Amino acid sequence: MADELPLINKIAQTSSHKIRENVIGVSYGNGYEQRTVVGENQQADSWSLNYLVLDEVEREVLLSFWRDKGNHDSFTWTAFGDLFEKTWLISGNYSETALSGELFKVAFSIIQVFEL
Amino acid sequence: MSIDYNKPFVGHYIEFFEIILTDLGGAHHHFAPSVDYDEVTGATSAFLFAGMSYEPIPIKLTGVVSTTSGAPSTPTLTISNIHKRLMSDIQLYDGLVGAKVVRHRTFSEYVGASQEMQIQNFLISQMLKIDREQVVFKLNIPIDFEGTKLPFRVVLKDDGFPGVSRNGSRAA
Repeated sequence: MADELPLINKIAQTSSHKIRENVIGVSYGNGYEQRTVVGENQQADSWSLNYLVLDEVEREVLLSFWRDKGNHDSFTWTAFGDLFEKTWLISGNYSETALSGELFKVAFSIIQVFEL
Repeated sequence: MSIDYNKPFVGHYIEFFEIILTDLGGAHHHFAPSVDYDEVTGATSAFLFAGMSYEPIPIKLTGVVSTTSGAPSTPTLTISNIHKRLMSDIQLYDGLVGAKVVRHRTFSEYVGASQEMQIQNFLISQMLKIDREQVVFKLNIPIDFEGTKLPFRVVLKDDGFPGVSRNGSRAA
């Protein structure tokens, strides 16, 4: 059982969601086009997650989670608006800003992955 | 399946492969570069086709070209080596030279009915490269082997061919 994304009630509304799909299409002659998606797992979600005001304990929870998962180990999360949980992987760097001595702003991105 | 060729979209194009080492004394691998994903529940499972489960692994076949002139194409098969999935087979069976590769192609709408395009067969002729990330094999189509003879006899210029005359009269 994969771990779950922690502190989901702390994810800010400034977080953003994208969906990508790899489609190839051909349109010759008078413009009639045919399209296909190459492969089964080509439509994946991604989120840029923002945690705006974290205290030191919360920040440590998130930092430990990031260090544990890195960019290599997947976890689960039911994203906003989704009806079921999906499997995700952290994409790119962990970024944090100290708002004050005790409060932090954290951001990182995740992408959906397809695993057994 | 052919009636759908004119549609603008007929589902996801899917390729999956068999690597057959049984003639070499090894296993019969079923590989697909994807997993089945249920968009209603989010559940994943191994790709299934015609009752056979295909193990997910990054795998791709490139360079398949049909030509009427010149040498036949020599496609390359690239497989992930991140988890060293084929390492023991490669060591045991001389780089898998001579192993049969079967390429299956279909669209997602036809997976349930187990319908597919004509399968393509290849033979591994050489292991081109192996590193931490991938293994690359050079493939041949089965007839593209130097010295291969047609079954039963070799056609020789001096002996002629049954039914073919060199002097205008048919041999008795």
